[in-house]
Amino acid sequence: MAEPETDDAPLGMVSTSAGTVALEQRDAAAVLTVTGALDLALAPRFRQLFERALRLRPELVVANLTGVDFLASAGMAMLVLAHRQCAPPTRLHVVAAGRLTMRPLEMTRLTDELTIFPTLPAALARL
Amino acid sequence: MTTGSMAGHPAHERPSSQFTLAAALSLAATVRERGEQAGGAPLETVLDAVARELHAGFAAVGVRCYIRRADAADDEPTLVAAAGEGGGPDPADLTAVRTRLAQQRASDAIEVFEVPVPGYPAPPEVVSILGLAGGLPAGEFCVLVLGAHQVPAGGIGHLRPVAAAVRAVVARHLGDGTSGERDYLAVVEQAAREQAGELDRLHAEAGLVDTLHAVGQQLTAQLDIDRLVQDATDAATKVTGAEFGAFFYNLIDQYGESYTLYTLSGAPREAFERFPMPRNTLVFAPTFDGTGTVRSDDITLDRRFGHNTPYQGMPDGHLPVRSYLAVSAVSPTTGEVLGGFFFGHPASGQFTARHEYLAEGIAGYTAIALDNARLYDRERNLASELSRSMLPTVPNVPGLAIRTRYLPAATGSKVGGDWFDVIELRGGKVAFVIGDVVGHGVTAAAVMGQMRTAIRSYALLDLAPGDLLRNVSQLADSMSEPSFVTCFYAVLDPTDGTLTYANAGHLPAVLIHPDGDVEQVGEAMAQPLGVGTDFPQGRGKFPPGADLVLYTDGLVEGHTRDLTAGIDALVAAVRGLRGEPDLDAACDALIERLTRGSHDDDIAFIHVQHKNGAEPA
Repeated sequence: MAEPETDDAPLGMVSTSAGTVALEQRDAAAVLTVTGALDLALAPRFRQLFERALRLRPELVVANLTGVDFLASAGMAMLVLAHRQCAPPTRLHVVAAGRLTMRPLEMTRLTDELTIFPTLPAALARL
Repeated sequence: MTTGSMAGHPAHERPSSQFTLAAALSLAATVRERGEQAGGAPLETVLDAVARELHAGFAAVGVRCYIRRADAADDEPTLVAAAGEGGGPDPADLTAVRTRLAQQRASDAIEVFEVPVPGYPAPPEVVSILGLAGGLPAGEFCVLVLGAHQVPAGGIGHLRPVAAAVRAVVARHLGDGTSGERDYLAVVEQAAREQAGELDRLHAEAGLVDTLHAVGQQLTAQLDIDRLVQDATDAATKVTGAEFGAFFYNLIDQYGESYTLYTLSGAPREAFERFPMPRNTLVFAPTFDGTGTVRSDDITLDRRFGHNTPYQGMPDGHLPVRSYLAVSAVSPTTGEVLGGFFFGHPASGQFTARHEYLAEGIAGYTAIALDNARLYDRERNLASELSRSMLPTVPNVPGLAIRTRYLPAATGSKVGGDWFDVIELRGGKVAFVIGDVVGHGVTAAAVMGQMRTAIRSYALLDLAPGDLLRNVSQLADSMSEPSFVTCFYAVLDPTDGTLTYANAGHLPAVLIHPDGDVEQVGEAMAQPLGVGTDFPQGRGKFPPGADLVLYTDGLVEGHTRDLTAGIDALVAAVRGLRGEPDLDAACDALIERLTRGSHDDDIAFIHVQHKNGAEPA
């Protein structure tokens, strides 16, 4: 269902010394791919790209945290904000697998609120 | 009005390019070449060609060539050739030429000189008159160049090769080619040497500009005041060529008192430590008051020197100073004098205007860098002070030994969000609180203060942990900034040795049972304050003989450590605390070990020992 990667021109990219966020569009979904540390430094930049993603009026925004190796509370606070900012019909799906991201999300019970998928295809399949 | 040979080139365009040494050497070579090409032509023809070259080469208004022959009957200079404007012999020319040639007669050296323009009957565009003169085998020559350009300072000296070339041409025509050529070559060689010297000077100057730029970049990127002032002193001492340099600067201590420190370069600290700080004497005042740079070839001869008791000058044993240069570092934001640079050299006359310029440049960069460093310190200290000022005084609770630690983030930008609290409640109960506000700086510290106060207030109302967190979460949710605060709240009831707790997304507590079993309690019970609405409560045993540890994430996670591994390491370390004779030192060592000596986030930590009833607290 997803277009081949080569067709997905990145619509934006932000980074810090420890992490990056890239925005691309896949069909009706805007995908934010985060790598490295989603921390106090990267969180506000994620927010910028997330808001740019919302302006594309996608049905789905995916925050792909597969490449995140440090999910700080600032990053989780920002995920909650993003989730609460999505107004229907737009939804936010989070891709997270592995204890580096899942343990903090479970510890804060954000798993109750966020819609979390183990893989990007799974998150996109629910479009 | 004519612009002479300058057609199309306004006088201001390149006002002095023809007076550089390189241009003069090139013109001299052309003149000499013309002379050779002229071969056996009459002297008038040869000099006509020379005059035309000079006219073009100097972009002059007019050129006139005079020769006085020793064998001529009237002993008068004669106009032999001319080019450009105002061709004919001018009476004023003759006066100037006669005067000069009278001096010239004694030697056959070449001379380059300027004739004053005012009062000279020249076309109005003439702003300078140059004379090139020299001795000949039997007489002298003098060429007047009526120029449309001011001759820059130093330009005259560069023209000696041109005069030598003219003489070589004339001397050759008069049959004494050898001496003319030899002199010409000597002059050219001398000029070439000067040229090389000038290039060296230019390279050195470019090097100094580079140095200043590099020093500026280095200084303004530095936030550590100690390093920055030392770097500045070293750099300034180097570029001024001083024997030694010092920078005296003022800092404000935690009580708001100003105190003075100094750095040294080129001299050991022992060379100065016996002397008091320099006072605001006549010599030092301009620097400490920021009223201007002081540069002296010999400060001991300065009228401001030596008026103050007890030393009447430099104290005995002071490094010898003759050459003296002192520059203030003045804050670009407040205009306040932040410090003063002092440079000394035992020889007199060492510091030039250029050294002064460079020292002032470095002082300027230093002031900017000091301003930055102070602002940074202020921001960091404000957040850190705010956090510290809100730390509670831990009550002395009978039956409990409570140890707390608060370490603000080592890197200033993240200070401010963590806190802990210990609150005595009714009926002998005690509440333990630990929390973390997401964010940093003064904002996070302020939110933390509100959270702490709210929790204290609700705690004193005797709300159960779950109810308490629910109320505080509502409060957090209503704040102007969205907040995300994790908090563990636990109440010990000593009457039955139980711990009742609720956890708003915070890390689990560590409970060490009397038998040494370690248990993590309260993990993943609820969402953080400001996010969640429902806060369930848990309850467990916390009898005498058990220990409780609460902590924040700075202790267990970071960019280089996985949270799970961090918690495991903490649990292992807490287990090791059992039986430590000095628990205070052991807690410090535990934090040191877990953070590997550096933490880029705040750390708050509580260790509670529930003592056996008989033991004193």
